Amino acid sequence: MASTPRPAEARVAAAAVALVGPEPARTLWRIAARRLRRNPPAMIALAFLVAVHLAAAIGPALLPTDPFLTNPLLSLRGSSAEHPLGTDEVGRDVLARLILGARVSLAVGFVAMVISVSLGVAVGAIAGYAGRWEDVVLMRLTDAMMALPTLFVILAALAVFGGGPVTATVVIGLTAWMPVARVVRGEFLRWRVTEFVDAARAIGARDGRIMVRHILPQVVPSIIVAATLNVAFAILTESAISYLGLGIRPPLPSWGNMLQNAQIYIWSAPNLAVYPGVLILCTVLAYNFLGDGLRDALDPRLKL
Amino acid sequence: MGRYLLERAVQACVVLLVVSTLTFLMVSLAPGGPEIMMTMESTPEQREALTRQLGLDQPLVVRYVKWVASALRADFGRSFGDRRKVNEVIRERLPNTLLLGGAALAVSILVGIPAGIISAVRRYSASDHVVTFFSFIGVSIPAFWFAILLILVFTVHFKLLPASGMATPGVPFSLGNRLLHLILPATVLATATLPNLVRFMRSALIEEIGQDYVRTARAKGLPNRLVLSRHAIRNALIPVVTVLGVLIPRLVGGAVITETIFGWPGMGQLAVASTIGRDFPMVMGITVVVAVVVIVSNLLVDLAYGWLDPRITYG
Repeated sequence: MASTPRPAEARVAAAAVALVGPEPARTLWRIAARRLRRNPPAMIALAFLVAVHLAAAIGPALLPTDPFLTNPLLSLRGSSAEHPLGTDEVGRDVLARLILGARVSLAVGFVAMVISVSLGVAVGAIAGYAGRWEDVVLMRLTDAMMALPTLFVILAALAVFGGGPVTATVVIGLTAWMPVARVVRGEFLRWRVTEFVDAARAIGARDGRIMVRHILPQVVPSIIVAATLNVAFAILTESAISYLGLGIRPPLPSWGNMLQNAQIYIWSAPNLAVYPGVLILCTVLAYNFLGDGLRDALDPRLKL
Repeated sequence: MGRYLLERAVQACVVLLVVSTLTFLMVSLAPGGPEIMMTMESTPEQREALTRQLGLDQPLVVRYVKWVASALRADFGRSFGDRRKVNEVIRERLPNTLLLGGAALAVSILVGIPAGIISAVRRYSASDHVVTFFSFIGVSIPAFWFAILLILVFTVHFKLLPASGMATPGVPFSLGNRLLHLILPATVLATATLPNLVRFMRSALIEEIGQDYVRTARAKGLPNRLVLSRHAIRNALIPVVTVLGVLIPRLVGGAVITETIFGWPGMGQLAVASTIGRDFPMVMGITVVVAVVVIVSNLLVDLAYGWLDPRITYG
């Protein structure tokens, strides 16, 4: 137990450093940021993600082209001055749709991640902290969900509730929380028996307060890593179900549904198949690299 | 051993019951419910007759008990679509999915384990970085897009491999023809499992290489090749078996995309078609059967683990 950090002592140490000299306190976050800066793949990934998110946030405002405007006379054209990346089968501008599609795909990925991480943290925290029957019941449920082929469950749910952005996001979120729950449970099991938790209990802190104010902050690094990897997974899942025509439906573009007809026009307009696919691959790859880099930076013990 | 098996069987039954109950509730309480199928071009009388015929006029609990009772006899009712028996359709489709999944698993193992070994033995070398980079690509590439690219290259451009179906139409069945049709779908499906297998093999072997017995084997003068093949790799392979338990559901889930793109007549393609058609008996039957397949294969993986590693006892 000697190695577990104690918040009060850490604060004293930080204060001492602040008194002694200009050297900044070596907090976990500063150390992690420095480790991350020394990881080229993770930094390239981060730069790419910043660019894509900026494009998704302000791109539609900067680009005057209407992504919904169809023009049968201009279908399946290649690059031109008005349409830098050409047009799709009904003459809509591919660049404008890619940018709006970025907004849709990234938003679905982010919100689905928030749902799955919140659920995973809640389940894992209760199972790990409460132990006993709560642990048994919740972990059996987690195992059962883990054993199911996610895509079949998602299809069954979409069959019942219909497609659309909201349903797709919720369903993806509700089928991706299990790995988070397992990690968080492990951490809560570990921190539950530490001295600072005993101390908090001794001064009368309630269970809820101990879980949220004392243990949860220790788990934040693991949650950040899980969240990053979860966004990658959610974007990939959204693209798959939208490709099948069951997630986001046209005319609203998403990177997945833009590929829906790419197979048909693969002869006449291979560019339609290339752009959305490359964007999905690079974005998901970047999230995975960033997640891996964060894991190394925040917790070197977890390094494979 | 007997007790362990019994425990796992009970656990599996609980999981199945939860899965089937959730599926049933989801379908029954859905907005519109199963009746949504009948809204097109039907008179109120026809609709009422159909409701009675499908048993939808009975209370939820009665329908559930009836459904479970018949599901226990592997009877999931008839498809809303073509009125065929769900279990007959599934019996036709399941072997095709198992064939595709088995082929993909074989590809994953045959490629993934050697790649993981190279990566671990030459840690931080150029080949390790290449393997790691490709496993990242494998995790991140959308399977359907990868499939489109492969079709573009191997079917459209080089005209080497068929991109659809299980056999060339009009040609009598031959093993060669079936294998030819398997190559592209199995490759795409393997990307669902291959990268994880590589990463797991790599870390398992790195851990074994750091063990004392490896140092002892080296100290007694055993050539490095034999240290690896006789000692380290054998032990590293044992935990890799457990990761198969995690990979099997993924393989089955990946079949949804792969089968749809390649026109492979399996469970995944059936699931997509039934979802679009809101064919509820079919969707429920598929979900339950797929869960059974996954649970049984996980149980087999657990047993294999105990058989491979004599240190494991089931208590």
